[in-house]
Amino acid sequence: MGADILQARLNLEVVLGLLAEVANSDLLFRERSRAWNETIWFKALGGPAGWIRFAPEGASHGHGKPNHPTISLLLFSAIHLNRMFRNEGLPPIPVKGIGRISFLKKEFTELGTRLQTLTRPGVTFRNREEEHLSTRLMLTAAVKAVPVLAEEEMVCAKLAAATPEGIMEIASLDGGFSGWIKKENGRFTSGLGKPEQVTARMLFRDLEAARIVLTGKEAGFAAIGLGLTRIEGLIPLVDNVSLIMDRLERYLA
Amino acid sequence: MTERKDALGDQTERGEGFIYPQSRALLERACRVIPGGIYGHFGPPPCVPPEAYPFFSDWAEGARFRDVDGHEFIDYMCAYGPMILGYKNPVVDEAFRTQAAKSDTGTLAAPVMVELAEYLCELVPIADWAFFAKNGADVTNLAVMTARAATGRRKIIAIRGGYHGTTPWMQSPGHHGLIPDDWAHVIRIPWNDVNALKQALEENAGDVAGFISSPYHHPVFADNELPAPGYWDQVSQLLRKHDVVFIIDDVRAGFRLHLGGSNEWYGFKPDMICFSKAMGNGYPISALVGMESLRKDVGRVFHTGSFWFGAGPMAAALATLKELKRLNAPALLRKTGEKLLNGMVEVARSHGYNLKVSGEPSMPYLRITDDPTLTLHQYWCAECTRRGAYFTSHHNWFISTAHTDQEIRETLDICDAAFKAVKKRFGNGTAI
Repeated sequence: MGADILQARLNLEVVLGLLAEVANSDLLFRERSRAWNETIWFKALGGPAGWIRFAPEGASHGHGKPNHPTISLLLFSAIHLNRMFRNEGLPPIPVKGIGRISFLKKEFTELGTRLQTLTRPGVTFRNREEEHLSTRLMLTAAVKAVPVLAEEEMVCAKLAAATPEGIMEIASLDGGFSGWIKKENGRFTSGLGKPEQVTARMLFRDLEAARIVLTGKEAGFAAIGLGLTRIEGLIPLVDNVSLIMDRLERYLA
Repeated sequence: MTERKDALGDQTERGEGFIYPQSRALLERACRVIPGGIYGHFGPPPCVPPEAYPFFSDWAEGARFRDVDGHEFIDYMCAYGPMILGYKNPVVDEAFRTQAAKSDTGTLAAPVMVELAEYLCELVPIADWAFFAKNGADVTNLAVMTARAATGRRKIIAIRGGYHGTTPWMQSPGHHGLIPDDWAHVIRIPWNDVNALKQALEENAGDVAGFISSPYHHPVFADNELPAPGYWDQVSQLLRKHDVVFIIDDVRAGFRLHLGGSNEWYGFKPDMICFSKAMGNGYPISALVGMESLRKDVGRVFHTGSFWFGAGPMAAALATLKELKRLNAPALLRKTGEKLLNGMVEVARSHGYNLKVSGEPSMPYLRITDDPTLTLHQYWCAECTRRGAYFTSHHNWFISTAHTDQEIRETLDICDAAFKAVKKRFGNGTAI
C-alpha cells in the first residue's frame, strides 16, 4: 500500500472510466468522440497500467495492456503518472504514436477539461441532461473506486476486512444509474449495470435524489427518512461500502 | 386501540398499514436545523423500509407509546433498554418528583448519592464502591481509564462486534472523525475464543491494561451468543494470570438477567461493572461499580460532568432498583420473554417460516433464517410495526415488567397478520 500507487490506480481505473463515460454520453463529445480512433496506453514503471480506447462504437477503458495501442505513454513512476493527470511536471514519454501527440494535447485534454467541469462542486448546468450525467459520473466513480480503495488504502482495507461477503446493488429507481459492488473470497470487484444476484441494496429515488445525497445537501440518515434513499438487505455490507466510498473524496476531489 | 385494530383490518385486506405524515413533516423540519434530522441509534437507517416506521412519539405509558400521528405501539425496544418497569412507572416517577421538589442539579452533591451508592454496594456482590455519571459511555470510559491507571499499561482487549459507546477508542476503524491513533491500543478478538484472548495477552505481554466485554455477546446484525460452558472461568484465570483488569460492560443487560449484575447469572466475578440503561427506568444515570482493589485507582482518575450529580435521577434509580427487587424482575422478564418468544416461533412455523431466537429471553434477538439477505426479516418487522408492535430488525429487543399477557396476546396476533402479509407479498421466496 502506498499513497502514490493508490492515486495512480484511481487515475487509471476510475478517472479513465469517467473520461470514457463523458465521451459516450456528453452532448458536446458524444458525436465528436465517435470520429476518434485511438487507444492510449498509460504505463508507469514499477506501477500500474491502464488504457482508454475511442472508437466508432464508443469509448471504453481497462487496466493492464490493451490490444493494439495507437499511443503508448511511459511514465517513470506512479508519481509521474499522477502529476500528468494533474497537468503538472514532466510530460510522459511517448514510446509509440509520437505523431499522434496532437490528439493528446487537443482532444484528450479537452475531454479532461470537460470532465473537470462536469464534476466541479457548485457548477451550474445548462440542462437536466448535463446534471444527470454529472450525477452518473459521481456514482460511477464511487462504484469503481471501492475495489481500489479496499486494496490500497489503510483505513479502507480495515473496513473491507470487516465487511460481510455479498453483492450490493446501487441504483437510481428512475433507471438513470445501476451498478454493483461485490465482495467474494475476501476481494472486492465492481461494475456498472444490474447485478444478477443481490444481497443488499442502496437505492436512490431518482438521480436528483442521488445528487442531493452525493453533494452532501442532505445527510445520509436524513435522506433515508425523507425517502431520497433506501437501504435494505445485508445492511453491514451497505454501511461499510458507504464508508469506503466516503473516503474517495480525499483522493478525487 | 380502536384505531389500531381498524387499521389492522385494512392492512390485512389491502396490504397497507400505519402511515406517518406528522412524523415525516417533523423530520423535514428537523433536517433543516439538526444535521441528519435524527442522529445515532434513533435515526432512520435501522428502520427498513423507513416508510413503515414512525420517527417521533409524544406519549408513552406502561409498555406502549404513541407516535405523533396518533398510532399506538406495544414497545419492544423500551427506549433501547432504559425502560424496564414501564413508562410513567408511578413509584419511580414519584421518587423523582419528591427529590426534584427538594433539589435536583445543584451546587453540592445530594445525600441521595450516598444512599444510592450504599444500596448498589449491597445489591451487587462485587461492588465495594460506586461512581455515578449519565450515559453508559461515561462509565466505560472511566473503567478503561481506571484500568490504565491501575496497571500503567496501554492496551485494551475488547470483543469484535462488541459495543461500548461512541467515544473514539470504542468505534470501529473507518468511521468519520476517527484517526488511526484512536484504535491503536484496542485489540479486538472474537467472542467465546479463549485462545484468541490468550494469544492477545501473550503477544502484548506487560502492555494490556484491561479486558472489556458484555456478559454475553449481543452485537447488532448478528445472532446473539451466550458464553460457552467454562468460558468466563477461563477468561478470569487468564486475566488474573496477566494482571489485567476485568471489566464487564453491563450497560445493556444490567438488571435484566440478575440484580447483582449479569456476571452473577453466569457465575463469575469481574473487577468492575458498568451499568446504565435500566438502572433509572428512563431517568439519566449510569454507574461504575468495582472491587476494593481498584478504589485508590478510580479515585485518582479525574472524570466528571455538569449533570452527573443530578439528585432526581439518583432518587429514581434507587426507587427503580428497589422496585426491581420487589418484583423479582429478572425472573419475571425471563418468563414474559419466553412466553412471547415461544408464541412467535410457533406463529412463524404455522406460516412455514423459521424464526431463530438468540440471546436471553429478556433481551432477545430474532431473525427469520429463510432469507440470508435479512430482507424477509426486515419486511416482517416492518409489517409488525405498521400493525402496532414496534420491532426493529437488527438490534436485540427488550422486555419490561410492564409487558402483560394482554400485550403478549396482541403481539402474537400482530405477528400472525404480519407473516400473512409477508407470505402474500413474497411467497416462499426471499424478499430481495
